Amino acid sequence: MSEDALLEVGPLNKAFGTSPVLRDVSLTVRKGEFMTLLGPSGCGKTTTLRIIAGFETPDGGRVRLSGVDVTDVPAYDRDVHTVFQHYALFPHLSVADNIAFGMRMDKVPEAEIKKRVPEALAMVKLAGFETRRIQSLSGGQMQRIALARAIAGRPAVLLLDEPLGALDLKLRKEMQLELKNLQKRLGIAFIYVTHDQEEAMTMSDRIAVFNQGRIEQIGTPGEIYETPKTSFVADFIGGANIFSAKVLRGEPGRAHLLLEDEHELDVPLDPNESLPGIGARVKVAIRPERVKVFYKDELPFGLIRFDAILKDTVFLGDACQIYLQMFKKHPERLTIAWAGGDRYAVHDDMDVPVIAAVQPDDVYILEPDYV
Amino acid sequence: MSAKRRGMGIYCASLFGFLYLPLVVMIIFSFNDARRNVVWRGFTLKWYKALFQDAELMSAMLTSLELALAAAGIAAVLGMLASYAMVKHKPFRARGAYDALLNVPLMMPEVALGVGILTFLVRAGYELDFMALASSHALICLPYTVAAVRARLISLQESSLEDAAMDLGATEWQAFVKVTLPLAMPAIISGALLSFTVSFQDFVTSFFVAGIGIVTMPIKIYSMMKFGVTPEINALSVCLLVATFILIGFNAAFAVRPDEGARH
Repeated sequence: MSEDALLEVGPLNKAFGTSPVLRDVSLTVRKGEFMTLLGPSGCGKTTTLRIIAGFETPDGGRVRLSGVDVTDVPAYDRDVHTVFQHYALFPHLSVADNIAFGMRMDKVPEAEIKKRVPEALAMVKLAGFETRRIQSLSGGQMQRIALARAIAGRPAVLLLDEPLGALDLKLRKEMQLELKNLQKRLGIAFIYVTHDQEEAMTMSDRIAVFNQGRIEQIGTPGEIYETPKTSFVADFIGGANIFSAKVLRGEPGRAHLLLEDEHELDVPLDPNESLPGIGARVKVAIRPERVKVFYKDELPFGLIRFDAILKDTVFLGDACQIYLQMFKKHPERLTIAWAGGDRYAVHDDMDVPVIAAVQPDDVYILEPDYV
Repeated sequence: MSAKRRGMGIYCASLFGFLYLPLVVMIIFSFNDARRNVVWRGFTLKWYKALFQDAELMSAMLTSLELALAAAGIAAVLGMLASYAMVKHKPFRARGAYDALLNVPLMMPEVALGVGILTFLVRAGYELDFMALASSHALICLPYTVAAVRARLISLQESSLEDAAMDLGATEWQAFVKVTLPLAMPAIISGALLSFTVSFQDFVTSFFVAGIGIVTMPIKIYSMMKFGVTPEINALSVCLLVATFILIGFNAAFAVRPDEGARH
């Protein structure tokens, strides 16, 4: 593909027994890029990582690293290292011997190893830990040692399989930023597997969203969030209100929709995107934080306005979740709106009429689902 | 409440009495200065002295030790390989049968096993020598080593240590030698110690398979018993008892090593 492509994968297919786990997964990772494979458990992200590492062989598709086909190269001859979910540190070796393991396998001279072990430890802020036993380390320290062991051999690509999954929330937040910084300093491409969308948004240059063995969308965090292509992506990243709509008519750059059989609205379209056929049923997404709720009859210019009924409000500390009934024909279909963490946004009254409003360009037409 | 506790106490005391009183009697009478085991005539160590001066007995002891060592060694190697195959490879055909077959020696009546091995060896024209006996013992020991080693290998497998080694550039063989083997070693030794005691005390299989000239300790004791239980036999049994307890101690030291755990 592009000139700075470091790793090219695809189109991967893999089945365990009769159940397919990967369907035409294609991926390009650039030099020094932080790429995240994001998706729920069982979506195929870890299998993809294991194929790149060399622990699994794809049924179809190739893996190319720095322009060389490594699909049939065993794990130990690939210039990629992995940080495992449960660290997989060798409990019978000291911290220094753990970090030196890969270099010894590569026959790096001992003098060089002596230099690089403290360097790697300094990178993960554990200088002076050389002689410590693995059993004496805390979870966070083990995580750092696993990282040091993986980067000490200076691989072209570092694979990380939910490396922060076992840490508590506070430590995880710290490590996210640290990992990102480390990755920038080292300039090594990271491929990071996680099911945590917030983690993915925080660290990634690009995110590949996996669902049921397929990549639904690849893009920067901004692209994925602002213009989700499918209802899965819209819902998985940040949450979304997803409605069904019918295309009434369209012209280049805009579509006229009938939302849930009752509200007509004009939605701007990306000029590159083709308009779904007239009369087609599509899915439409609106982010909860883009739904504004007005209690009085005041409406800023340019918003699409819905008459709604306030059904419930939930105060969450940093935000307030408001449940709205926007459709008379589908009263059970509630719309969620987010308001800032303002306690006054919480209304004790239920069933009061309010106004819900959205910007036209906050309404996204989604591609049809695969499944 | 207190009556219940007392009842419990009595129950426990009689249980342990039932289990260990015969051993206590045996230990006491091994120090008895009398030819017969009925009356106490005073303390002596002469039976122990006689024991160590009995050349035949000492040679039987040596044979049994060598035999147990050989059997434990064979069983450890085979057990490690068998367990590794079971844990490492994805479920293969007839896997269940493979598992079950490895445990058969544990459940099969030893008499049947002894007769079977003897018939086989004779038919095959194999001489009933030391190696024949050691191999037969290894067969009985195999389920013990497999049980000990397999549990350990499963926990190693779950912590992806071999994957990690290969990821860092180790070939499959290097990963096995540098990571799996050292970490499985406590379990292998524990299984080998167990095998050692199983082989050392085995009577039935030895009785069938031992050729002329191979006299193991249990066979020797059995032949001595034909003239009644003498104080020498008591003394000998006490020696075996002490040795067994030492081995159990070793085994416990190797088996229970929480800090060597592969999982965190």
